[in-house]
Amino acid sequence: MAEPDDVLLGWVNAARRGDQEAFAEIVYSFTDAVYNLCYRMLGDAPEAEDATQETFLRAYNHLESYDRERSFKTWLLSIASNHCIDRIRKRRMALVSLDEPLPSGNALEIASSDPLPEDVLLRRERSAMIQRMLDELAPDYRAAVVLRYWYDYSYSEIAAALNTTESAIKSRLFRARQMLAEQYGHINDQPSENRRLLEG
Amino acid sequence: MDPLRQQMQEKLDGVLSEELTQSLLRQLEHDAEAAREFARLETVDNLLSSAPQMRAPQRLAVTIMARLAQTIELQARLQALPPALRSQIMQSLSLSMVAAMPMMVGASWLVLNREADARTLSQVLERAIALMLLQVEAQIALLDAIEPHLREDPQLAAACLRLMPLMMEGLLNAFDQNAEPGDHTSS
Repeated sequence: MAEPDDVLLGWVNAARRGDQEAFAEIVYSFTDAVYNLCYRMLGDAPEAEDATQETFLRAYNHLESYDRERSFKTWLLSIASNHCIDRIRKRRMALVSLDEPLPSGNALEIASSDPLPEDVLLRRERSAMIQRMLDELAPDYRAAVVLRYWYDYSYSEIAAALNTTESAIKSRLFRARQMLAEQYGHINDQPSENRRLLEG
Repeated sequence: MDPLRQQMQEKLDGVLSEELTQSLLRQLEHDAEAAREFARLETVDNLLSSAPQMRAPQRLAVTIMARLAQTIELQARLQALPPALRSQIMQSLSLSMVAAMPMMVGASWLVLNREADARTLSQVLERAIALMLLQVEAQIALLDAIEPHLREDPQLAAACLRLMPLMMEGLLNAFDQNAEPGDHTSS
């Protein structure tokens, strides 16, 4: 997680003083990281975009509370994770079914009638399937898995981002992996297209 | 977590020592079920490790900055209001919240006791929230209409607040008229 600390801190300090250009540099530097987390958490591209916007607005409004001893990226991802967890919980409260099929499964897809090379198509389908498996996890577990696998965070970094303890994160990751493995087992038991994706 | 499963997790995390890795592999050789479980865990681990990073749409950063600029402008406009007026608005909002909470709790209690049915409560709350959202929309429209004149005549804010109960009543009546016959959750 190498960050050019001095440059970044310079932007943060300037943004704290109201310099929007400095904050724009932060936005350009971290949009992909925040968006990826929101997408993996929410499984829906438009909602991930909205959550990314909300994350940066919250970060801007709370720049004063950023502790310079911590990694800025971890702080930002912590805001994004907690915001996404809240969104998922509100979704459930609104009785919206999580079993609805995902829209496209890939935010980078561009509508086109051109045939895709098989390996690209396979990769996209596999990515969508991983997303469907992730969507079955409780939001706290999902956040731990996303930070572990997409950001290569250690237990202590995940714990810091999600305001909990390392042992809680170990436990969440253990259970999450077990659940995902069970899902994988169900898919693997079926001689279907999904099995081809997993093996491909 | 039993020791075998803990070792499996540590192996996946790449923190299991060579000695314990060998011990784990020996155990798995003699336990077919555990070996299948570990194979599934490894596959899932590989799938997650190889999953791509999603890239944000190019326009997103620009959208964020535009939204931030709007928010900052709105905050500046709110700050520009006379402190006394701002304080009155905040007090009014706080009072509205304080007044609304017992009503919501009371309504929930009544519905649950009468119907003993969480679904009915859910329907009532949905309608109550829809009504509140309509009220907010109506208030925004009203504030937009009076905003240009507010600086010249701050009393308009008080007049606007007095209009709100009337708006609420009007919306409630409209809601009742639109309710289906026999629907007892409309009010």
